[in-house]
Amino acid sequence: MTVAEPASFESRYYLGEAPFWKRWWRDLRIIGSSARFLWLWFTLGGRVREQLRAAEREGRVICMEDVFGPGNRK
Amino acid sequence: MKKDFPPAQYAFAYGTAPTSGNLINGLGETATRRARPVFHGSGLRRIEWELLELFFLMTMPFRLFWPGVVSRWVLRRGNGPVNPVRTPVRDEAVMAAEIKGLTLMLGAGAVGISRVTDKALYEGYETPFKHAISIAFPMNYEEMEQVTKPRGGIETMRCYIEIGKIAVRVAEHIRALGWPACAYSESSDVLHIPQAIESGIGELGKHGSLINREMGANFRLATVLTDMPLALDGPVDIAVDDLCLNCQRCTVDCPAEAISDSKQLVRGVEKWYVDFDRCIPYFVKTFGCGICIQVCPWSVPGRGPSLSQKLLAKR
Repeated sequence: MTVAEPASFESRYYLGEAPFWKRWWRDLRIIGSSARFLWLWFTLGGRVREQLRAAEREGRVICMEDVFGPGNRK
Repeated sequence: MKKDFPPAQYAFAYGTAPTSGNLINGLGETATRRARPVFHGSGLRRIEWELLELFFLMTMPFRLFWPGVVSRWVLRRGNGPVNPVRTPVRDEAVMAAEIKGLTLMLGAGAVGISRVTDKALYEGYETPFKHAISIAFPMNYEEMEQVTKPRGGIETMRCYIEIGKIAVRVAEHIRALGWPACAYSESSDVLHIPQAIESGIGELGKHGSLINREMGANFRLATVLTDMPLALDGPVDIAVDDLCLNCQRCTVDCPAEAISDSKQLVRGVEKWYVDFDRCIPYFVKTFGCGICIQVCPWSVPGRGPSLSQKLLAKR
């Protein structure tokens, strides 16, 4: 079983008392992470959505491990 | 009457099934323990059903995906610097009323305050804060009538952004008064429902969502944790069990048949429980589902207060 790691959004990005540059760096990290996520949605996500639509049309079931496997991460 | 929703048949599946979510959630366990994360992480924490969550994120329409990005951006200011000059709290009741007034003025539908409960924290997580301000934000009923189509999910995400903004503003206000405070909204370290029950926002319904006297189940939750001394509210009795024990609307309308007609033992407590393994695949297929929230008779605008009054009078 996967063990939960203490790396939630809050533990990674919440800053209490911190200088301006740390806040700026935090914001940059969130932008970077969101940009990566968006890139994934357009690239890998596009392929996954296409495969899902095809499976729905043909009455097949796609395996999620295959969909996110190395073969689909071009 | 059963509504016509898409069937619980899926064009996706796990090759190797993960550990049952019901097992992780402690269904049938007699000993009390804290919850463990299963699904709906922030994308950073490793969770057992993360592959399905990734599938959910990758297959949802962009107009549903984008608000999640915005929500993360809003929530980055959930914590921040505390004013070194602390405003003393002479009367906890007055301060609680002030904070609640601000929260409602910012657009919340309901707000309550309670001591932080263990039930609201995942296993292995601790918080230095003593008090929790539970915030509820109403969803648009007409939009939620579109559930199983992306519009329902889009409305949910809109509400998460709005409630995130409110929670962040409330936490900022408390910090400006010299008291530490952190805002938590979707996919966070805090389990909002158990905390909101303690704060008197509502009672747990058989569909696993909270039912508020005025809003029914048609709202979203956020929490602000703080050390500020505040007068506490307590759990409420609005006769939710009186309705749920005799109503089968969500049980019948749930295409995944995930909602049980009786309470079940979960981590040592008998309560309403939704079958995770049946619910979540349908949730993924239908962009966040929400059928049970929409069909709940208590969610019909304006009906809640009279319903509660009638059910309480019948006792």
